[in-house]
Amino acid sequence: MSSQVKVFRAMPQSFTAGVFRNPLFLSGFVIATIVVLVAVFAPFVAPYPEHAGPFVDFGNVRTPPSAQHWLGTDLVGRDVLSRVIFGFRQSLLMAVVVLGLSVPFGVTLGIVAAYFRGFTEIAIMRVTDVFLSIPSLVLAMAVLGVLPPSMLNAMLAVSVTWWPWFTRLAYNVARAVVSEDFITASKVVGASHSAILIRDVFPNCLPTILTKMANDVGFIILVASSLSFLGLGLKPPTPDLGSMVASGANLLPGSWWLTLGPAMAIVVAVMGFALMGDGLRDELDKAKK
Amino acid sequence: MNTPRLEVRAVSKTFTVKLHKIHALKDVSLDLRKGECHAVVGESGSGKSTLGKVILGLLSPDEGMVLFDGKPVPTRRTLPMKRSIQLVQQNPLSTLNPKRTVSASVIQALKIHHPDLNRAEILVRFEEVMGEVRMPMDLADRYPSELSGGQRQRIAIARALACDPEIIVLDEPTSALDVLVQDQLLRLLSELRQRKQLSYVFITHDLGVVRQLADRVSVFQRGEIVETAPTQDLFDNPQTAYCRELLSSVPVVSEEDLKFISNLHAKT
Repeated sequence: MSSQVKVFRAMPQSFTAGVFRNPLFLSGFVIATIVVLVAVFAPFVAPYPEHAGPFVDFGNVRTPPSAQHWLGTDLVGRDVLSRVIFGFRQSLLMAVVVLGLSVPFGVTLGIVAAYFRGFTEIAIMRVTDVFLSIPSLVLAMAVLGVLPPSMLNAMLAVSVTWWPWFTRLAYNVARAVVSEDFITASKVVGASHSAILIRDVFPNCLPTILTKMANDVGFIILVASSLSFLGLGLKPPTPDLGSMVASGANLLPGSWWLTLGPAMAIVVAVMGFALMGDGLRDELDKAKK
Repeated sequence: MNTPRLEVRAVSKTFTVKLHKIHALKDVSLDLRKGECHAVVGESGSGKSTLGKVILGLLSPDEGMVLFDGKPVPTRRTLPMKRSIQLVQQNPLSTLNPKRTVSASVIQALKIHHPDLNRAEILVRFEEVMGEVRMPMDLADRYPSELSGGQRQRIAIARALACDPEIIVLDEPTSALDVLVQDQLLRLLSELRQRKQLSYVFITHDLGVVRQLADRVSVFQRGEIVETAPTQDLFDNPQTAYCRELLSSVPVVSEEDLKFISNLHAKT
């Protein structure tokens, strides 16, 4: 078609371009990308990949950071940096699975409650409130008290605590969207409820949901770390950032590097995704004006 | 020809706001013939838009009923029923989904009411409808935010026309637009009415617009119709005090003023 169509085609990209010019988002994006790449290519990036498994080297126990071991070695002589790099894998997998389970479930309930109102709304939102009133970690621990502790069950447990936040968020955003004129217009035209929810309500809630997802990656890593710290997450020898901090904490302040390395790794990953989320939120606020 | 397509019979609707009962509609009756433009005028909050919602089936009346072709309209409207009565809203900023291109919004309406047509036939119909509202096809893939208020209202009209309606409820379709765009849109609406034998329920508080377009007028005051009359009769010889007061408060834009404004527009 004409050149004007091409002008418009460039429009959605201009928002993307704006986002990438936002310093918060850009710095977060760079950090998050590095973390993801490091996690994916862990066997190639880590200086001692075999140290992520059942490995012992009693000649090198608890050596401080050095040229060979940048973050030192742990109680059985394993390279801390290598274990941190492999630890990212578990943390990110955790975040992806938890968001993958809780976001579709939570968001669907939220927009359904906002759209249909009445009994549906009351039923969904009161159940959500019950879940929200229990602290995440306590609820996750309760779930893991029933299920045997494993990576998969830890993911399930955190998902159980996570969906209500997305239900509440999607509900609040969708409440505003549902009162817009274009929803009335779709009803008058004869669109089905599912078509209105999928084409009209959901796309207008999506930006806010994406922002929360980016922010939540960091928090899920923290909760997962807390669970491992309490011994409810992964089992050794699989490296996990939380359990590394936990075991290292017993040896503070002498072997400080056992805690500092994994703790910094958590901080960096959390910060990267949180910055991305904040930048995204700022740009969306601009777009609204 | 003279049997009414749409009849509103003794409709009442009450809302309860903070324990106060508000009579949005009190015993309202109105009829609409084929090809007729029936204006509904009154101040803000007089119940005009509530009447529109009742006609569209978005609200069910507490009392009374709506008849289409002499038959009562059921509470749950069928698709052909929905097709027959369409809507153009007031606010061009929110009448279209900001996340969808205007073509997507109009084509959705086409697909719902023409499930038997294939892709190519739908596109042909889409081009027809865009032509009917004088929208160039190269704007089809734009998002609402990239269009002017007048263009968005044209798309809203196109979406209504895509359903092949017989009646369109126009809920202050021009009140958010400037005088010149308003004038163009009104001309388009009256042309479409003649060509397609459409009936309009024209909800407005702008009596100048009423004079330009309407065959008959119903004047609303606090949820009640105080007077229904052919447009000319109402303007020449209003029967009630309220109508006289309403008419005397209208600022008149003459043909000369309009020419002056369009000259200004042409220069800039």
